[in-house]
Amino acid sequence: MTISPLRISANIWRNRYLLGQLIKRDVLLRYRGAIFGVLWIFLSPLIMLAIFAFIFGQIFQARWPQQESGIPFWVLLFSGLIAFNIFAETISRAPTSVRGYPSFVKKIIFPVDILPIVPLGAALVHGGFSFLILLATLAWTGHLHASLLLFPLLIVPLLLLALGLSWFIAAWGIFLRDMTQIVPVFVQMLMFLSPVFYPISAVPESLRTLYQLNPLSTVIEATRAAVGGHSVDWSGWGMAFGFCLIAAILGYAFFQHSRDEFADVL
Amino acid sequence: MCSDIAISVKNLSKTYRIFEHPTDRIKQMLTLGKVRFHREFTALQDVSFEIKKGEAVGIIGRNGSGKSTLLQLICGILKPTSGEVRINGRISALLELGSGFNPEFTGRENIYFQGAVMGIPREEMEGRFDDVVSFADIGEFIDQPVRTYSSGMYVRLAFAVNILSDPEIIIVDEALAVGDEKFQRKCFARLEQLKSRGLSILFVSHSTEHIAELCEKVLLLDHGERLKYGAPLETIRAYQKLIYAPFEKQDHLAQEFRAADRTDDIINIDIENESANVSNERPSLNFDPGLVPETTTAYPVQGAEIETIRILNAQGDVVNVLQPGCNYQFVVSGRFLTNVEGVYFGIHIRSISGVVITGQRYPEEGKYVEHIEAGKAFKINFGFRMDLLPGVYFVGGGIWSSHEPNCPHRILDALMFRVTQEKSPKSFGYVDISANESIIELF
Repeated sequence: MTISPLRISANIWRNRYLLGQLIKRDVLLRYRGAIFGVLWIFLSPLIMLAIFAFIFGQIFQARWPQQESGIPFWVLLFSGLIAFNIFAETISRAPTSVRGYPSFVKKIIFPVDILPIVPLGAALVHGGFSFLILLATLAWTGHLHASLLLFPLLIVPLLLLALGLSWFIAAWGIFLRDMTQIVPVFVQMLMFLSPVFYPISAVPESLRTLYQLNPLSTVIEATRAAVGGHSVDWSGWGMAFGFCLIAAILGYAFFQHSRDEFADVL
Repeated sequence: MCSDIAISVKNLSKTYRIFEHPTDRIKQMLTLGKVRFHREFTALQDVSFEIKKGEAVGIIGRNGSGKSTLLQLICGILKPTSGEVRINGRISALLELGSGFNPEFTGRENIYFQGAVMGIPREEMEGRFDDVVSFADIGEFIDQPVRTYSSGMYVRLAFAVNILSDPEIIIVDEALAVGDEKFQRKCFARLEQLKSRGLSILFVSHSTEHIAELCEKVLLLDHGERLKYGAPLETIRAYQKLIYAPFEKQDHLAQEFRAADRTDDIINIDIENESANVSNERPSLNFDPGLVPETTTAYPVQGAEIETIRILNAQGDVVNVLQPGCNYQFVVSGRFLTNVEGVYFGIHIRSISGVVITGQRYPEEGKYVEHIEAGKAFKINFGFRMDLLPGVYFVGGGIWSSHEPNCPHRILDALMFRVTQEKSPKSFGYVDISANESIIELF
């Protein structure tokens, strides 16, 4: 079976209605029964931002090195976290994205390969609301730049990487229950090893090439540049895009290769 | 592929790899499969059959005989180890009713979601929504989360969604067993109706009566192999004979069926026991020597034997052509080969389609003949007033013991009889229980 990006996209496109329903269900289910309901989509990032503003703005009085744009640290931190959280939420839920629905695998005729996309979709919904809050905050603090519009485009490599890893982890998660333990540790590690809390320029020269191999660094740096109204390093971004696209295809190929055994194992 | 074939299964086999420990799977992957860390378990072996459009096929077999595996392979949920499955048409699979439902969501939301799973867009689903709700008979609960539903409502809703999705092939695994009888009737009626429009049905059930009622052909599986694929009653008989046979004899029986299946012979399953038919009687007006069942099935003798079952009229003649309204004695006789405790006898009358119309037991329900010694012969007269409508019926009988799981002896379709037509009947079905003349009043 040949796996081409076109064929993968066509397959996802064919199931778009079902995928949409699944994502909708996933997001709604999280808030079902809560008193504030769907309002939590707004409330939780807002609370997080308030805490950042208090801790980093008031207590630590942290400043971004070489900061000239004047955007407060906590706003830049928040913008980096939006991108990272989309990735983190997707990956953390990947191990159970298929294993959690044994009836879809075993009991009904179902395009199982779209299941790992559901956490990504849900994460994007949450990320979208966080982005709106970021937008409002930037407007309120008077730092709104037109380049902010590039944000959604800039995170595309990150989405592809998240997708590729999701397919891979979801397949492994079926055979190996340990994935549920391994992945959160991996995600936390990545959060500190990616330039979320600090700019890549703060990393010692000797390690910087290593950092640039991490597509997350490139994407987070690029989004931060867009938020601050600086120019984006497009060549680095292009490389990250290529790398992540390959990761997505390989992840899908691995998933399709091992899916024949899912029903046997679940 | 021929266009009137809905499902074609060729030499289908499925072998599961069983890993003792999850790490064994990784070890095997790391060695690129060169070292084997697993055992194999064959769930299905070399099964072939075809289902035509508009045909209903039942699958029967003991637990673990591979029925569910076969269905999952046909649905494409499992990947065959070898062989192939070809499907011609849209499948709706009810392997476990409501398995796609999410209990937190309302009935309404789940209906639309189930539609999405089956690839039916929302607009089309909206058009069917009322049909689904009325078929499922859910009422105002439709806007409640399905976790608040009773299990019956849950199943009804799931079935309604599936059956109203306009499938060309429907696969039902034991799913109807949960609904109440009224709903089961409704489902069967619906299935029959869809069948007449060309829907193919694949139906797994332990209820042989349901199978006999709905299916034109039945597939008998045992230990993953096809033992028989043929007419319902015959195949069901074979199955029943197999499951009630003593453990030692089962393998032998299975082999016999398999051999017969290969040569495509129509064998009379009952080879050793033909004594139940009466042959030494003179042909008369009330006796038709041609009325001999081909489906006679004698279970293995396990402690007692029924030697003859005969029908006698008021004059004591053996008959098999019966007059409506007259009284007859159905005489069962035989002998006991071992001591048997807690004995009771039974006799039943079945229709051509296998439905038990009536029966009697001796002694009555809850009572038993305490003890019968080996070597004793017996003869029981069961009296029947022939209120059956004209047609052909089958008689079978059995001896049971309350102490034994296997019955000492049983014969199905030991003989058949015909009820003649006296005058043009006003009743229809199987029995005439009309009381007085019907009166019409016109206003």
